[in-house]
Amino acid sequence: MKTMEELGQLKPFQARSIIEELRKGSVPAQYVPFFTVGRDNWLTFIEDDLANYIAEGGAKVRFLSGDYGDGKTHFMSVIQHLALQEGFGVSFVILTRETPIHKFEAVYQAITQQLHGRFEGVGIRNLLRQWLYNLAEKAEKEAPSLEQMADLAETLRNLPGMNINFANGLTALAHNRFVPLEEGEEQEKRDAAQEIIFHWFEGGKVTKRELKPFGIFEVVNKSNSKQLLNSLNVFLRHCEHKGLILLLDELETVIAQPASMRNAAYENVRLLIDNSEHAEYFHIFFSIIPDVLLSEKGFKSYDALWSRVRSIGQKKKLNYRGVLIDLHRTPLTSKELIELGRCLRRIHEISYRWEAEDSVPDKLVEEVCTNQEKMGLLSEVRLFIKQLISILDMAEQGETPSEELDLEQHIVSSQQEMDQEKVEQLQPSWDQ
Amino acid sequence: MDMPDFFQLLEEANNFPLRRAVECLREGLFDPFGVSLLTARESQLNTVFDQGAQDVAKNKSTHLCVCGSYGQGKSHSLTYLRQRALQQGFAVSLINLDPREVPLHDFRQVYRALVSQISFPDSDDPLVKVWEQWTKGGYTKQLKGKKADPLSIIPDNMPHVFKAVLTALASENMQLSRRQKGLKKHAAFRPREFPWILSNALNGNAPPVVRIRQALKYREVSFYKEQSLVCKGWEPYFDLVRGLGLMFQQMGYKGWVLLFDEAEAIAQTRINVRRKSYAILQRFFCPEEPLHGLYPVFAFTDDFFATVKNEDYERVDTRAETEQPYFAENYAKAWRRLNIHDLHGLSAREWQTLAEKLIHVHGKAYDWQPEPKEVQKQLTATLKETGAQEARLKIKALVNQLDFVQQGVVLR
Repeated sequence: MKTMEELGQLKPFQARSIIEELRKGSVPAQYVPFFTVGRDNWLTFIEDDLANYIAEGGAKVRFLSGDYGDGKTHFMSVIQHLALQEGFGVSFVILTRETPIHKFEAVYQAITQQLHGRFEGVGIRNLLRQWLYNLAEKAEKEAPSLEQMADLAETLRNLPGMNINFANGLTALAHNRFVPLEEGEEQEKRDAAQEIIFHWFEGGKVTKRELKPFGIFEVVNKSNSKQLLNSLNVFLRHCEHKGLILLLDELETVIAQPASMRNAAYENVRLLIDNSEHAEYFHIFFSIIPDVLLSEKGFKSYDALWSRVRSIGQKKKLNYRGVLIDLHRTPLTSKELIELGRCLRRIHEISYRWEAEDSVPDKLVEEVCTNQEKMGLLSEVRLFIKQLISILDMAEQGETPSEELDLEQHIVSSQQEMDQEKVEQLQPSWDQ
Repeated sequence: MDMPDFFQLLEEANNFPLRRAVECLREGLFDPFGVSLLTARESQLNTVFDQGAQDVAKNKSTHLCVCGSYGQGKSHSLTYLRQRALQQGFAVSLINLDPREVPLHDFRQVYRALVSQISFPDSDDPLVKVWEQWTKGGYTKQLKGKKADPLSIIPDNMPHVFKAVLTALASENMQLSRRQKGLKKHAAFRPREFPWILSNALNGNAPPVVRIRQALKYREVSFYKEQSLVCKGWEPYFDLVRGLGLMFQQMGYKGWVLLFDEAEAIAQTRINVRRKSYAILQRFFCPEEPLHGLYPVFAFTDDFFATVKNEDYERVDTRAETEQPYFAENYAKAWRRLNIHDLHGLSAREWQTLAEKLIHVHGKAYDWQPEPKEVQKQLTATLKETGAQEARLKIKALVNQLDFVQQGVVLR
């Protein structure tokens, strides 16, 4: 996505944070455009969807399928960048034991905490602060009158699809910010009240009693969290965003759950798909491993969901508009991997302020790639990155990779390291 | 729909609704516009639905069950019926029953969903607005005479709180002087809040009773203190639905068509929940008193009736040392004569016509020019390949094939 020239503008600390993350096997989401290659066909159609369908009022759900190391998280981060560029609100949530899809209220909480958009910082709290700031700017020097506040409340309540609690919460925030302190009222009390409202918007635990003074009658729970999510989208549109893009990573954790939780999770996914009939300006991407589609505990075990996701016939062709974005079937080509290798080498150079081209020449990058291809592991982008960074690290520390470097052995050891990381990531295992 | 009508509708359509229709089909869903373009074999469905509509007009109770397996077109049929009912002058709500979020046994949630999805034939306004417009003069067409009282159509059997709320929605706020507004006893006089408190109450969102009471007081509803404003259990919400059906009829609509999709979800719940759901279904299917103005339509898979048939109707419930049947009735027996419309697959010719229509819809949705004859050949092959698969999957396969051809053009 970025040219070598643009890459050169990276600051050393930025470059270093990229390398550190990649070394750990994680994706430095903020910087993905600096080392993204390939996947053009998928991105062509996703861009078209965002600009010509979602931004026009459409809604859809897509599944991003790929094995460990195929680059699902990376790809989702690319989508995040695209969506932010297009002016959408975006939230990228990793589904975990603490944030399981069957408890949508927990997912809602994570969504609000990871919200990015046309505002400074991350999270709904910053969105709300920006909104208050904009209101203050509009009002310029004079605080809005009570009449204006009432108008604002009415406008918010009348936004189509807006939940009354969400609207009342916003109104209460505006009151809290703009209505002058009453006689004897302390600023500390105001701040505490503001904190309660923020906390409610974040899906945090607040009692009904605490919420009552603000006209908020419900705490966030499983039956209203989807409604509140829709209200968040309505509010984002009110704040001049084009809609909401949700990126929900690692849905595969569902497979290891007991049947009751799994079914509840699948039901939630099904509801989110069906919701796209009525929803507007809303796109959800779930990342999954192929097992979710193939295994008996996967989508197949839940008829209502499976009938929406499965397709029949034309197994050999890829539909770039389809419900499934199959990364496993569109691995990076050798040429693209080599291009990625060059990007990484440049980032490593900036990061550690050195010249890498002599000790890690293009030829060596090509050889790493050829060896990986020979061993049938070309599609494993994470493995390639792991190997290359380890070679660059060695070279930077003075151990110039000699021609005798056993690349096959190097692949094996890198893979072992990755397996170890995978095991660590999966701990603790789901309750059986 | 025949081809000339189809082309005319297509011609008039903008790009976005067409795209949404195709996007929905790709996910195995249906949107109303897609349904209006692509419905096949509608005459049988029309006949069976119209029969029920005639019963409603004669103030007879009626119902319809649309049955078919997964992917055979139940949702499509209900969406089609939604449009037909609107064309005939009914108010219509189409909802998906869901054991977690909209379970039939929790009829308050069902009512909320019904009201949130309600459509009227002559406007896109929500229920509250339609009611306000009616009371502010819309009634003159229906209720003749200078002294006609629009509130007279609120049925007596409607739960007290909703009668009060409907009355309040039609009333103006009490006038208070500036001095009175400053008094402590009028501290709750917040007139700007009253409309949304009342509308949320009518929509089943249950704002706190104290807030409803304040709104009723300042809207001068004379009778609101006569009974409790609290609704408990599912019966009041059922009575509310029943009352609204009658009320809509008196407002000049043909009645209220309630379309319940995925009703087979009832069979997936626990037995104690099922028996409650069956009791509610019984009120729809075999009501003791006629349900004036109501026309419930349920979509079931055959599994549902298998579950009903296999329930243990001999089972007893022991409470306070007395034994009672666990189920209030033997529903397998009671529901032997339901109005059931079974869905059947389309013929080869109907599939060909559908495929032809899809080519034109896809072309206009994504702004490209398919070569009709060539693409039709490919779709015929797809239809052959998908053989006896369910309709939903066959349509998905057709859309897939069209996507392949189009992506070849885009990526060229």
